[in-house]
Amino acid sequence: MTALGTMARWTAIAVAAAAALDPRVPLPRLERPAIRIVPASSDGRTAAALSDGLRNAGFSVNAAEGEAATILVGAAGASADAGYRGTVWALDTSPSAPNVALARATAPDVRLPEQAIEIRVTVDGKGVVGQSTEVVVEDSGIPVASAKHTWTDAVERWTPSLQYLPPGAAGGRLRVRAIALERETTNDDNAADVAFPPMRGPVRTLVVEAGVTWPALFTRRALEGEPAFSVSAVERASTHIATRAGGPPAALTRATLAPYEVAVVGGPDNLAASDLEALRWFVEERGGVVVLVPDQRPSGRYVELTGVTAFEPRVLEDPARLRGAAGEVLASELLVPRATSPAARVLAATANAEPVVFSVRRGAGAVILSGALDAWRYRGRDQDGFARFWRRAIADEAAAVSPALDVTVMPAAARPGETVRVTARLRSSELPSSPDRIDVPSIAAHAVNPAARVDQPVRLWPTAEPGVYEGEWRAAAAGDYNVSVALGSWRGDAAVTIADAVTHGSTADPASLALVARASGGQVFPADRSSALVDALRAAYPARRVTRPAHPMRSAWWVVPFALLLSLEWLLRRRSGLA
Amino acid sequence: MRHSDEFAAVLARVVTRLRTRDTLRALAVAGLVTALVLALARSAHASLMTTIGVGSLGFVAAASAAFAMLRHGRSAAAAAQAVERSDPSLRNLVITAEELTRKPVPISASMRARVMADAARRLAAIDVARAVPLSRDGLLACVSAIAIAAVMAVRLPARAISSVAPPHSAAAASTAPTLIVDVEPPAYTGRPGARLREPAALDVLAGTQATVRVEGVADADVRLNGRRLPMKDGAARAALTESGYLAVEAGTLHRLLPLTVTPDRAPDVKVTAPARDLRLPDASTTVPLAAQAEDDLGLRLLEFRYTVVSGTGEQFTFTEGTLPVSVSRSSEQSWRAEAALVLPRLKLEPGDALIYRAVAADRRPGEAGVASSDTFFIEIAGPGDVPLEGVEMPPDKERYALSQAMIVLKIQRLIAKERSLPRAEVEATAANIAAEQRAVRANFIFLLGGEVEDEQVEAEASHEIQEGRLANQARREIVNATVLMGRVERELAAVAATQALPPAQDAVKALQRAFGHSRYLLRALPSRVRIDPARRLSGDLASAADWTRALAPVADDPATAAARAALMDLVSAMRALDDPARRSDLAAALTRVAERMLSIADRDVQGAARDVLAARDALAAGQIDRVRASLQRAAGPIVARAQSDRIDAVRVPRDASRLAGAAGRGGPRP
Repeated sequence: MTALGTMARWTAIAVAAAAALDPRVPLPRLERPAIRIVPASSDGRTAAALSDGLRNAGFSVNAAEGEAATILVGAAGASADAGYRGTVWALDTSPSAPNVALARATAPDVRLPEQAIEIRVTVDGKGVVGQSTEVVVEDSGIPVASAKHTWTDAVERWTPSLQYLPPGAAGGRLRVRAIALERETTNDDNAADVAFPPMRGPVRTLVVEAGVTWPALFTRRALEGEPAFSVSAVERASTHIATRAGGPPAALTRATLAPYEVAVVGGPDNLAASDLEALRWFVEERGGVVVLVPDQRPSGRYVELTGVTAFEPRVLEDPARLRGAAGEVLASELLVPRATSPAARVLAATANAEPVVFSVRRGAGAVILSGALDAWRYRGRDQDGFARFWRRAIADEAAAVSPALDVTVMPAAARPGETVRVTARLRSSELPSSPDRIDVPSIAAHAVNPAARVDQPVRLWPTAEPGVYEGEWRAAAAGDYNVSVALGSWRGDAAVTIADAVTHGSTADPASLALVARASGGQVFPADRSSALVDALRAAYPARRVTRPAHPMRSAWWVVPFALLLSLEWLLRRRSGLA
Repeated sequence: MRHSDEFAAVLARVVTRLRTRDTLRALAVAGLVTALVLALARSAHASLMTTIGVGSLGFVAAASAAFAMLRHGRSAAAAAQAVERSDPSLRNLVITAEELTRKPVPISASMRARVMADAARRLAAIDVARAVPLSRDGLLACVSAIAIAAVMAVRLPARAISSVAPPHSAAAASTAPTLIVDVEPPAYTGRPGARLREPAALDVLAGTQATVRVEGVADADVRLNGRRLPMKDGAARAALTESGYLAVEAGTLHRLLPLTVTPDRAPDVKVTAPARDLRLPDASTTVPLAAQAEDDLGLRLLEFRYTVVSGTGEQFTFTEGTLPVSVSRSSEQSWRAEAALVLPRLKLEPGDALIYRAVAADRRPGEAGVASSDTFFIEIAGPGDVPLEGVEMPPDKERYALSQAMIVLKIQRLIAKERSLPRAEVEATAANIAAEQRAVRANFIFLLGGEVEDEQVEAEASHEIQEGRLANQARREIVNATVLMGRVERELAAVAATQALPPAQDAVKALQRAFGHSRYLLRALPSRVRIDPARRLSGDLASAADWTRALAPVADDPATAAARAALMDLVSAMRALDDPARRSDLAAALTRVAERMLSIADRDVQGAARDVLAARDALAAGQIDRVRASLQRAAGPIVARAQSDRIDAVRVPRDASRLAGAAGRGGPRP
């Protein structure tokens, strides 16, 4: 055998030995950092194209670890628990202009008898300047309310509020539709469903006229005989003589006030200190609404319930039209507070925006004070405007008071299998008042559908805030469900409508996308400029020379020289006559 | 060209004309057949598309068949026969020539040439239009086209409303129940009654008597505005007084008829002369009066009625009467009356007043059809009044504008200029001011009058004790002011302006106090106050005690409640529309919805009921999209009505409320 053959043999042996040892060799090379792509469920194709572009640019995409940046591909910022790493960049896949998108539609959690549900809608218009969009609310395909808007800006948000009184007591589902314009890029985001709750019972209202006064008398008349209010009234004509209706309590105490939700107080100057203390408890702890209807400039301490220290009385020659959140009312004798809490809600104000009738939240409840002293004189105008004003003002405030155990579901209309987030909140006034520990009874929640004989437990978890529990639930089948929560002696319910046809409108939220991106130093690029995103990433993450440990013997190509060497060795041996 | 070719060319023209004739005939036949088919299809109440489709098919088939059957009549031989018929002098020359061209005949060439030459020559002179006339066939084609148009234009009797019922066979049609409604307008209208067979709707005058029966069915369920009518002798009878609906169920017959009841309008009457208030210096004149009245149906009465008001201070007497009138009738609906108001006969004294008005009545029995014109005054000038001849009193607005304050101002001016003016001018000025003072006083005396019933209504509605007290105070002040005004008048009549000023000023103050007491003075004062001691807290104080009153009941609004129920039904119907399994019950449900809507006294809602019925018919035809569109149209008025009296809401976010409440918990304690 020749020296060549010997060399081939030993070289092959060396290759085999090296493969067996698998040495780790540090190797320098040019490379860009790894990048993670997080696509929304409907944007997989866009994400795949972006991934190819990034790989061609030298990036490592979706490596197991060590990502320098995250790219969100979608129309909205993903949830906070998505676990972004590094700088967040975004490829915005929301529909391009011209497009009108129904971004949000909500209905109230509570509905009183005769009270309309307020459907708040958020509509985004992009590139539709000069065109008009009509938003229609439909109950099973029947248009029941509508609003129209003409777009004036290239990118504009319109938030109409529509009112609808459903004809029955049951809850249900409404569809909000933005009538599609010509040449919209997509109509998929033009509709959204909202669920409205079943009608609750009337507001339990106590009218206390500490002295017979016109304002309280006519405010009581505005409520009495209305399905939304269950009124009990007491009118004190003198110290010892009273007129009663509907079983009012003999005196104002915590126990006697507890069954009521609203207390309308006329002639509040005549209230005793014990009465005021009971009312304070009623507002702060019980979560009631006190409506103070004086007939003269306040002389009692009751105004301290409102946080207002001084009033400016005004007498006008002609009645002024006072406008605010509760509608309109006329009055010519006014009490204008010199200063109100910034959180006060103005129910009726002068033309100069000075509050005359306002409400302030206090503890769990609220206090309304009417400075329209002689509004009752004009009660017959504007088609009974005085009565409508008070019904609306009191109903709104009463509906805003949370029950002792408040159960909310989000969304209240969902598709089968969709996640419904359940939140149960025990009013803070109901929490044990021990200074060092909070003991809360055990909580249990069920999703019940009597028609389908479904009673499914819902697991709720305590949150960082005492008395607040959250959980998730998915309905397997369509139907009307009631999520019932029991916490000790408290009970709370929320209605959920599950249907296959439920739609939630647009999921696009460019603002959240921009917020997430800019907060980490990234940028947002529209979907049709993905190459610009790749260029930006290339500029932001230039290729760097790094030394990476390598295992060269793990390459399968070593088999080829190994086989060639052995073949050469064998050939040379044959030629030299060896076996 | 050879003779045979010339002959063939002319004959070909005749054949072409024959083809045109056959075409017209085929069209005429096809048109008549099509008219027959269309008539059958329409009588079977087929849809428009079906009718047109069947008609077209019949037309094409009939035309093709007729054209094919006539094919033997447009050959060359037939053309030759037609030519021969049109000109008998040819003596079969053309027929012979045509046969020679068509089949070999053993004749000599010269003879053939001769025949062909003669035929060609004679044929060249033939009038083809005369040989084959087209006018009659064209006329027939036009007649058939007109027949088609007539069949399509004729309105067929209304189809049975219950379109969900299976189609009737010819045998069944003869025994199908038929709805018959006899309507008899009120007798006073003089209008004839009518018998309505299968009416689509009822539009009648209020008070019309309706007799409803169903031919072919002994018993029927008849409901008028939801009220079941008793059947007697196979018929239901009712007086139609309110709009709504008439529902009839009898075997296979289901009818829902919108009912529109037009009330008899009261006469429109007005005084045309003198049509203004008058103040006369004395009662020696005669005032001509004229009035005219119009009514929608017919008038029964037109007259003048008057009331004489005599007396002074608070002692007034009232005498009523009627004037003889001369009535001219331009029609039963339009009358004109003239009368003479002879004041001397009425024995009016100075200071008296006469109030007159025209009264008309239509032919309704009782007082229901009585209407009255505006009321006018004639006042006889009293002592101290300015004796102007027939001066017109100031119009109402100006009269009310004469304020007591202006009287005071005028007296002050008179006092200031009294010394510089001639005595006669001072007396005239004082008399004028006195007249104005009297007018002002008269206004307030009028305000103190009124009807007792209004006060009761006011009192029952308000329960306002204090309001009554304030109103009484105001009334007392006004009474005081009128007494002071009387003193002013007397002083001015005596031309004592200085003495007239203090009571005039006091009267102003009294009026100011009166108006300051109560803002609803004008509501309270027109009533003649009758104090209810039970409401004025009069009585024994020791007997005052607690009492319990009943809560005000929930206000009942049947129309809104019915509209909400109808909306709920509509929503349910729309849901059922998406579920094929529930569609079978939908027709009956829609009928109920329409019935409910027709019971609501709202013209828009009642109109929308027709859309619901249209939806029901579309459902029977299986046109779901049309059903949906009709129901959406019908929902508009219902939604609007169902939303009345709702409490609009502005949501206060609970989370924000909670946070604001937590911040406000530490607020000052009362």
